[in-house]
Amino acid sequence: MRVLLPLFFIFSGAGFVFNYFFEKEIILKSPICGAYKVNRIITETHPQEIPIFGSSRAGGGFIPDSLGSDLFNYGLSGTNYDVALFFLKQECRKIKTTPWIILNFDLDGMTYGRGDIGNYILNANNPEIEALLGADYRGYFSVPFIKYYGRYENYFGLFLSDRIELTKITNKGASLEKNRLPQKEFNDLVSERKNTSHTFRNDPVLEQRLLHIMNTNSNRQFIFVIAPYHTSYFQGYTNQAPEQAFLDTLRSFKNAKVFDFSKLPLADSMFLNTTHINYKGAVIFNHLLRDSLKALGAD
Amino acid sequence: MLFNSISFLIFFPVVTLLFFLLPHRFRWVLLLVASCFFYMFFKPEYILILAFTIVIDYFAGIFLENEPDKKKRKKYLLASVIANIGVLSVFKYYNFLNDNVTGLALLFNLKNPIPHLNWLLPIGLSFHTFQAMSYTIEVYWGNQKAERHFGIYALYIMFYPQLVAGPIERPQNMIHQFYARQQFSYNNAVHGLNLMAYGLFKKVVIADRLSRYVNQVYSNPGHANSFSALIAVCFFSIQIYCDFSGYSDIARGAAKVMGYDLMINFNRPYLASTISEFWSRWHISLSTWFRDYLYIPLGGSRAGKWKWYRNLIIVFLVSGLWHGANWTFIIWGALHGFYVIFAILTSGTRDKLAKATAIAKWPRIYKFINQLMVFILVTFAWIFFRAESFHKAKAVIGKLFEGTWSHNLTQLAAEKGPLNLILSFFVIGLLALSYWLPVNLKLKHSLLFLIITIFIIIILGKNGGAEFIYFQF
Repeated sequence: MRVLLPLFFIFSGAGFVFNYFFEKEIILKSPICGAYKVNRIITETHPQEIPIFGSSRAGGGFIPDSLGSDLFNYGLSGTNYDVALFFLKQECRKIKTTPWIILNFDLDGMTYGRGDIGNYILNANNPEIEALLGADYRGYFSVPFIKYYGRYENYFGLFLSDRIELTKITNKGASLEKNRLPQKEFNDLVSERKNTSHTFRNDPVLEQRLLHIMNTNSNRQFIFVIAPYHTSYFQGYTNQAPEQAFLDTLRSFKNAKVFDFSKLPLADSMFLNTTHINYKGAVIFNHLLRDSLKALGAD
Repeated sequence: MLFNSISFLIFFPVVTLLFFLLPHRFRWVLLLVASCFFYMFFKPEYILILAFTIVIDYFAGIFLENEPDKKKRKKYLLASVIANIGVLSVFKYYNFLNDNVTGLALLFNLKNPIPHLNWLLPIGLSFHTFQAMSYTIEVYWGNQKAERHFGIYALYIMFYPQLVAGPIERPQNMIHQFYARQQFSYNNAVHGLNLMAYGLFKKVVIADRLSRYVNQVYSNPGHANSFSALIAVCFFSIQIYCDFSGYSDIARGAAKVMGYDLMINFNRPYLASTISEFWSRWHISLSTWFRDYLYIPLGGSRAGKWKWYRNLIIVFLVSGLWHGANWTFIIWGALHGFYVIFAILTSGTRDKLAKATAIAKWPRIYKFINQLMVFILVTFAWIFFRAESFHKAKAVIGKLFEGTWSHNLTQLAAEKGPLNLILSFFVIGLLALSYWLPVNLKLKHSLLFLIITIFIIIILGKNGGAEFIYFQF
């Protein structure tokens, strides 16, 4: 005990201090980091900000500064609409001076995908985050220092990415790939994509939840944007009719607009893979999207 | 149960606490139950296989000791060895042999009627089979008394720290320790925890990090260039060392906390200046097993030159086969056999060359060159050990000699990002730094070492509970 107690206090103290500075100086200073985005949507109000929600197709395809003066990209890799709706719910609670909300919409429909658990640990004590994590919630997420075990590098990597921009260009939460795959590897992906069938499928619970948010927040304007896909994606796409029907449902809302850029013709060099554009592709896509937003007055 | 899992983080202190709270006479029961629980965490039904060999060898030991007739003793030993090798063959080598028969039959347009069996290899089978065999052999030779206490014998085979990946202990080292009354000792506890922390550091900070790069290159050699292939093969040398020696350190540490001493299984093998020295430093419990129970009984180096070479080749081929039922492991073993024989054949010439070039005048440089040569040879052999097939190994070797030394960052970082590559080199640097510490890790400032190591593990460790490579053997 004579040794164990001081040992415990030294370890805990050092861990706590490290944890404090890591969160303050690394995580909360990396706008492209998922944990930063989750924290920002929960704890900060930016009255004039137009948020962009969605998956990695949002995070790697929408350039806030190209679209307007006060936008922020909340796109999270590996997530789907359960997370986008969580963000949307937080956003709709805020008192804002701008009504616009941009939502990236993926052609495989609204399904579940929570993405990396590291996005949520910073705010794991929030009851809504705990509910979102469900069975994946772990008690040690409340223990400073230890809670980030195995993930420090991920946060640090994003922190560096944000500053060095070695392979990616970052802009207000957006992280856009500078490079492209070698043509041979890209061709392999294209062949693979052509041979894979994918379907549009909306989870009914998520669909209802989205429609409910739109109904109950008539003071907000929801802009659904479908970012570009490579042409090969549509060769294995089997049910475009229900997708169009759902987009029509969205269009029927007075406070919703749909911009479909899914078939925007872009060269292979503008793609990272068959479902994600790179920076070069994003510049063209955002230029066109900006015109559409300008027409609405949402820039 | 994995040493690098949350379950073990709970299991270990609970078992250790109960161990010291219980009176000495009940401790073997606790350790046996805990070991069964530990083993059954993987696949519960496979404990029956373990039970089968334990019962066979327990009685074999007693019969061997009671029987004065040499011929009958030989038969008992043979029965025990056949039972052990039989289990190993069925679970580990049946499909390998059968697949080869199928391949051979196809050459003659024939069909192999023997079915392929879809069962999993019991975890650590090769380890506890060899440990069990060492017991009966030692009893047969009269070096060890047959253990009459079934529980203690079962514990010798099943002692959880070394059950699934060694060290492969000898009965002379272990059995008497289970009878000894172990008292809690602060020094043992801190020394044991240091060993565990250092082992965990090797596993989750180094091996698991390097594995990201290595797995990427080996799973898709086509995407690599010569640079990334070279980095991957070197990384694997360090990965497998840290993975396996890390396990041994944790095993030794977990046993040490309770007062038990397991043998040192690794002694900084990449500092070896000859291949023979490498094998006296790498997986020591297995190499000494082969030395004592195969190489020396075959005649060792005293049976004439050609028989000596034959014995060496046999030992290394069997060692390869011990690691896995695949031609790649056999090639790996054969390569090491070849290295050792080549070193013997050329030792005179090399000495002359060293004298002629005057390199021997600078012993440190000469030693370093030799160490580097050993590392290169061992690393080359690891390619066959790591690759899933001969073709994959060929593809990686092809990449090494392709001559594509471009600085493409994506290729150089094996698509895992530059930070991963930088951290990989950084943690290798930490490993090199740790070589300043004494081999037995008995330190003056052991608590400081413990705190720093745990800090490094939490900050640089890879979360995910990756399995230890040697579990598959």
